[in-house]
Amino acid sequence: MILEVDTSSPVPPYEQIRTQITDLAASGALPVGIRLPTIRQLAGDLGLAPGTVARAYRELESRGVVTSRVRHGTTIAAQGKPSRRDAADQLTAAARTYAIAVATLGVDRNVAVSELDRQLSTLTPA
Amino acid sequence: MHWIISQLPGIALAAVLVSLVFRDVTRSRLERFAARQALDITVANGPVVIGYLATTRRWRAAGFLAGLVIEFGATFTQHGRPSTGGVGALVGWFVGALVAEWRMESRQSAGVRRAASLSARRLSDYVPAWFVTVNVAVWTATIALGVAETVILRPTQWPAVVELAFAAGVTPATWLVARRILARPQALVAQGVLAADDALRSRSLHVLGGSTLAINGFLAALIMSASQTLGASWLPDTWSFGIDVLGAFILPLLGWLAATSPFAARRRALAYPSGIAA
Repeated sequence: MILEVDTSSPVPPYEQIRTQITDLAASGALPVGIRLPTIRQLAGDLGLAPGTVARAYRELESRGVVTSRVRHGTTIAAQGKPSRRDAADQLTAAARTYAIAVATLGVDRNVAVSELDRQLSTLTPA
Repeated sequence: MHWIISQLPGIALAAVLVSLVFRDVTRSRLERFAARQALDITVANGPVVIGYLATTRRWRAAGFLAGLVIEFGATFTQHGRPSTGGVGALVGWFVGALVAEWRMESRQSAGVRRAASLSARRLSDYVPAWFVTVNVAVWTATIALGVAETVILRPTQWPAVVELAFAAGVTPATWLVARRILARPQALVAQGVLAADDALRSRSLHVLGGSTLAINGFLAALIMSASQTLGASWLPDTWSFGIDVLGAFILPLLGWLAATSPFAARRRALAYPSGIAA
């Protein structure tokens, strides 16, 4: 399983890490209970500051994607269905990240909406 | 003059080691490493492996020599003539090995687009589980032996305090360096280089674990012989003899066998991601 970070992207690296791990966990590519690399290992491999990876892990933990325990490290948590309020919060955060990327790249609003629509259609069964 | 003759084997070994420090890595040594790690040496990973073999040998041999010289100096100061029991050289070699691993650098992701594996590097990927268990058990037994001897003989003698203090530090030092080896950055590069990187980590951990086992065994034997020398043996003779044999011969042999045994790192092969600079 490979994680990629684009340091020139308008999306901050911690957010890229968080999004990819969330997606991989949601799709089952990262199964429940699997151990993620330590903060030091992942930061070293990506050439990022440990604080960046630590922030991504903290956010993943606060959203229930991973659990961190002493001696067990950080593992993928069982994904229960989020509460309506949590789902709304997560959607807002993800939409904001997308909006920032659109604004920074100077993409036309209609193009951005149609791209979002296209992405949704790839996930939603016909 | 007699002491010079008695130390000739040690001096000859030191001379061989000095020559080894400056010698190039031979093809047979490279092939031996590749066979032990089940690694295919390629044009891309060959220089990485050769660099590793040269660096580790240089530091280990330098440590061995420094240990030998220090032991000679210490015995000369104490007894008026230099001698060696091999402990100084062994400890020096071990310290050299630790320093080599600590200083070893590896390739880190760089550039705008970076990639890393999401699989955690664990000790069990690089060394067999029994190896870790045996190391911890021997360390615990050595410490227990040293503490027992110190407590039992304390009112009259302090025969094994130095050995005990040293034993207390050896395994934690190895553990620290092992953690560093696991955390050493690993860039996602061509498959062959990645495999070599895992092979180097595995061999480093084998060598450090093997030498830690040998040193702890040696220390256990020294702790035993300290009380025997003072005529204050507190264990039945058969037990003392058993610990001597185990510590001075069997454990160092086991450590050496483990350090040189074949082991292919078990990490999963990773796909080379598109667009990431190799």
